[in-house]
Amino acid sequence: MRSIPGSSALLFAAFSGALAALSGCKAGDLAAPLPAAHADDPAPRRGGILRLSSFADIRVIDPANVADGLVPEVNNVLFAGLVDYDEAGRVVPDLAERWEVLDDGKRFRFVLRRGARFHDGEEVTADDVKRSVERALGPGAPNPYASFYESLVGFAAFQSGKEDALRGVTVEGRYVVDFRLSERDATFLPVLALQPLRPVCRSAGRRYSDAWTPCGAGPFRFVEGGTEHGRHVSVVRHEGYHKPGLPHLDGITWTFLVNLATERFKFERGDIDVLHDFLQADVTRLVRDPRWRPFGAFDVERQIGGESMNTEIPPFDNVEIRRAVAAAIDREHYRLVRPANIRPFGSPVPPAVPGYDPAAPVQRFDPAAALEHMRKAGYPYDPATRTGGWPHPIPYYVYRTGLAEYTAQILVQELARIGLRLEIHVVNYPTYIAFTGRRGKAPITSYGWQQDYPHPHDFFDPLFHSHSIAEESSNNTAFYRNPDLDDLLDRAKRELDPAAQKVLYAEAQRIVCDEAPWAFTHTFRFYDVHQPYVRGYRPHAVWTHRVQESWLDRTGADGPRALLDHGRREALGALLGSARDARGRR
Amino acid sequence: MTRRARLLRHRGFQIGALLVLALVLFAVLGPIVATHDPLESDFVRGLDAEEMPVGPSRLFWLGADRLCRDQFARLATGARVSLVIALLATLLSTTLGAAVGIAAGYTEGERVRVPVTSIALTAGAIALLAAGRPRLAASALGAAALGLALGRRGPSLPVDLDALLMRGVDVLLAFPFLLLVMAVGAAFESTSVVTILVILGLTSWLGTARIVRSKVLSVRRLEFVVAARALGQTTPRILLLHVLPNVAGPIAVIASVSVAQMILSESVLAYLGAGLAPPTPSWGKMLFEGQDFFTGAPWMLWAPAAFILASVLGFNLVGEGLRDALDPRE
Amino acid sequence: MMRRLARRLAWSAFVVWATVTLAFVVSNVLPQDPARMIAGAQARPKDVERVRAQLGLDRPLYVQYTTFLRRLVHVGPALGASRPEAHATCGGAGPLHVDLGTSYQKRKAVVALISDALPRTLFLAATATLLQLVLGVASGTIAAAKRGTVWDRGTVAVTLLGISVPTYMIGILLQWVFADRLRLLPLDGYGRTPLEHVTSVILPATTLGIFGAAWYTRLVRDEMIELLHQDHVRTARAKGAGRLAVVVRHALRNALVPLVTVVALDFGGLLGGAIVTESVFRWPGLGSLGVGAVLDRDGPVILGSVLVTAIVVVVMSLAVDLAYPLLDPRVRAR
Repeated sequence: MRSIPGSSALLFAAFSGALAALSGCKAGDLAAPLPAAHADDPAPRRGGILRLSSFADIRVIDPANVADGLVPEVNNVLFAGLVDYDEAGRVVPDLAERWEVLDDGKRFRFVLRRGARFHDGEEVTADDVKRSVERALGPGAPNPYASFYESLVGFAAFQSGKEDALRGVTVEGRYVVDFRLSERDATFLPVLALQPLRPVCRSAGRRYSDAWTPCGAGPFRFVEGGTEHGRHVSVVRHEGYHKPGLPHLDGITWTFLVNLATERFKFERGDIDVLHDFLQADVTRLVRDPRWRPFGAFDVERQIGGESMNTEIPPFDNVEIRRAVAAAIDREHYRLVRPANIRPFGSPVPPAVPGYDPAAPVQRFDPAAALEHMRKAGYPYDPATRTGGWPHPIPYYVYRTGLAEYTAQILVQELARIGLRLEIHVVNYPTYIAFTGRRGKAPITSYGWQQDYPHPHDFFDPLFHSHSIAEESSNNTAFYRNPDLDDLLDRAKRELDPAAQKVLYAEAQRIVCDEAPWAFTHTFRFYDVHQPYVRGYRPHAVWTHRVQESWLDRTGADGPRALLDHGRREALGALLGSARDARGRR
Repeated sequence: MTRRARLLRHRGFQIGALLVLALVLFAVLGPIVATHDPLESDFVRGLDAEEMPVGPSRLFWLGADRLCRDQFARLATGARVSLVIALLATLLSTTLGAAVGIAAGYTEGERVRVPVTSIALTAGAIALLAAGRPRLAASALGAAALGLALGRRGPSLPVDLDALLMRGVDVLLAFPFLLLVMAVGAAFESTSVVTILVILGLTSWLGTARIVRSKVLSVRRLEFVVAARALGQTTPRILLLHVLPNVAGPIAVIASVSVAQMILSESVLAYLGAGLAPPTPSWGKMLFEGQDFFTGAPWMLWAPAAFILASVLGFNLVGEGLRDALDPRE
Repeated sequence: MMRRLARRLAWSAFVVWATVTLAFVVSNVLPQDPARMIAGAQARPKDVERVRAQLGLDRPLYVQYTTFLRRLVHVGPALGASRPEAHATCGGAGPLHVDLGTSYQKRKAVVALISDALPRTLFLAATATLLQLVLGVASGTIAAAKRGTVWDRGTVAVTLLGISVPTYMIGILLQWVFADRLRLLPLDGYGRTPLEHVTSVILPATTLGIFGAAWYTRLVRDEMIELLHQDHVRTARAKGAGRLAVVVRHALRNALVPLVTVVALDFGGLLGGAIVTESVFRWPGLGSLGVGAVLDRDGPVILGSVLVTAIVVVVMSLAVDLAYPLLDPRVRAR
């Protein structure tokens, strides 16, 4: 008779065997790519539905309320703006065919393209532009980006409800609209190219309301009933789109909240066409897989990460201690937390931002210098005897992510080598957000900044300008205050000449790298792979998954059915699968 | 045959006890035997050519984890943490659940006289809790319980104890676990073995209380209990001699299942940002961390899973043996 | 009897009120800022303050609380296709309205969010409960009846495994085997037709059911072993009743008493707590709604989901109390 332990050992063996089979089969990496039908033909083909997915979900589809990090992907195909970004992050015309800069940079005149149509068939006019701007900046709109546009004349009076119309935006003809600024602002065009002010149909009304069916002038239109809140969204081609020949696709669908392992299963069987989220073991191998390398791409780096040191709390009120920290971190170790996505990086502006100066000074790993800085700070540390250093443990706040929790454990090891003892406090995200922005609360935190628009101002101003210090919700989490830097940043914001601007930001970079309110450690770059039959798909400097110009080139007359012949499907599965595909195409 | 002899001859108990003993030995000796510091990353030897953590080898007996630390050393250190948490939390929740369940079930349909001082102290504890003073609140609650245990003298009020306790259980059952976790986390602002015990202890006794109460409801109507009451035996005596042995079976089952659940719950807490602060290792947390790697570095999953399974097995067999040995009918 | 029932109902109402109030207090005492969570981590303080004012989060807490209670159940015009602005977020029947406000994050009526999620959650929870009940009772009974045999020990071993393997691993394994390799069932989602709903629920329900079944097997086995020793069962046997008849008629029926408590408890738990399973199989349920709300600090959704959970817990608890006398003759005899 088998005893209990005997049989459960057997069971356990069986279970681990199944798991090992699961991991073993998966360790053989992703299934082979599904080839394009006409790989040599660069001419776009029309038709087909592109299927995307994400582990996250979206909150609201409305340019006046861009409330999460994923929805810009959807907004982008639904709403066209006066201007947009090109692949390199430069501002280019879109609904406006051209613009002029008048009044010494304080007035922007946009001339609209004639014949551009909203999804409801109406032509896009200057009135629509003004109405949409007022809808997005009005007192009732939850728009989290409203203050980005505060240099518009009359902004404060309009937003507080004192004035009924925004004086800074004027209609100068059916196709001409002027934006007037209260002072010169080098960030105005980049900020205008973001989504909040993009024109929306008349059905949206003059003021923001939650009850609305998304309707704009983008290349795809929203399908009534084609969405279920936060779970999937379907859009179809807008026949009246203003760019000739575009879009190539019949439609796009997004599926949200998909578990990471499921995303991979779906990608392998061709149920989704682009894979963006990965189990870590998968992506680490995938970037090296020669079969997939041609169809994978690193997204442009849009975020920086680092350790934000509160310059008002000891020991980080001491600049030498901050310099010691900045020199003590071997950023190569941070990379190993997620080798496929993290790149060591010692300065505040990611390299893809226009105006980035590769020659400007950066922070570097230098253990000897770090110990020297500790000595200068008055807390010398002897690594041989492990004595000296800052006498108290320092609380370090992170929230639970795949990343910060682990870089934290590396940081603890690195700083122990120069005599700083950190105590990791893992708190939930809302609390972390509250603590990091609260004055006098957190001495040192793991912090990152995600690019809002591709301009150095977007990194320097919120993080290091003294006017970004607040008692609560402070963007300047280091509570760093330096009048010289403030002055430099204010001048750079008013400077419209790119060359002169670059000099100013290089100097700003020198200051923050030297004074080290942050130890800059890394940038994070996303990776994605697409099936070879997804064509014309390229990373973009600002937008993730900008797919409005992609096309599908599947084998056979009808793409999804051709996949069935791929020899991987069994009879029953094929039946189920094709039924599902047919629905997906509706 | 004495109970002890019966217990020691129980085959399942023998094996279970051996397993538990082995795990305890591992917890005690493992960290000494281990060749690495459990908190120290070895970025040079801990990575393979593909920059994945290395698998089991002469250097890393059970492979390396994602920060290139030795899994064996971490599992050994984690054994102390996980076993202590699992056992103490189970003890806490089972005792609390059994006490509340027996009190509620035994007094169902009757009114109990409760000293006014205890009622006042309980109200005070709730007020203190709302005011964000959890430690003071806990001591007030303790004093209230003490008053309840000792207080036969002084003014008292008739209270429907069963309704009060069970509706309290309902409130806690309906209250979102995550919010409770956040509240405890915010009250202490750092996570330690104590906070985890508080969280697990506060949330896991509710089911036990309900099940025990339902058992007590039928047990107290059995002839020997009714007879004992009629003969005027004291309540504690009846509870201890007649009621408790008859509800011991379900309690033992719940407790043995809960040991495993506690280890796993600890990893859920880690996921919710209220687990043990890193870099301290625990089995649950290691298991959780392994999930992101099961396609490439499966040892990060199966090594902690094997230890968890072994401890579940061990404690269950011991529980089974105890139950059989204590069974009043055999 | 009627008085008892009335008292019990009053207590139930109290439990619901107390739970919701406690959730309101706790979520507001925590060091978190809902306005910041709405506007985003990188929002500028002035945008955060504007959002706060728009949603009335700058008002004193007691004002927010009384506003919530006043709107919760109120009287208004019948809800047709078009409805006045003031009742845009209401649900209900006829003139009786239920209003849980608007989600801060999703900008949708909480009533609508919950009425989308609730039926699906009930479907999953009911399927899982049924599954674990059938499996658990059957295998527990067999194990007890054949105590000490290979059957018994094998069953116990399987239950140990079921209890100690985390849900996430069970879910992924089932998904990989049945949906990805064998292609018998959908990978995830809820489907669009009734047939698809049924095929979609199998894997998540099994994932949940494995733990439940293991746990019920242990309980039933234990309870039955004890009952098979008891006098009336022995008597029945002595009177010559068949082995199977004894097990089913006498022991199983009595074993159901504590099981009912557990089932009710678990059903309530499954409604709000199947978070991991819901996320692995992308099941659009109440659990992920509630957890997402807590993590996003979305007040109205937190209170809405707590309200629903509290009502379910109360109803289940009531049902168990009413069921005891029916199931257990000893209780009825009183």
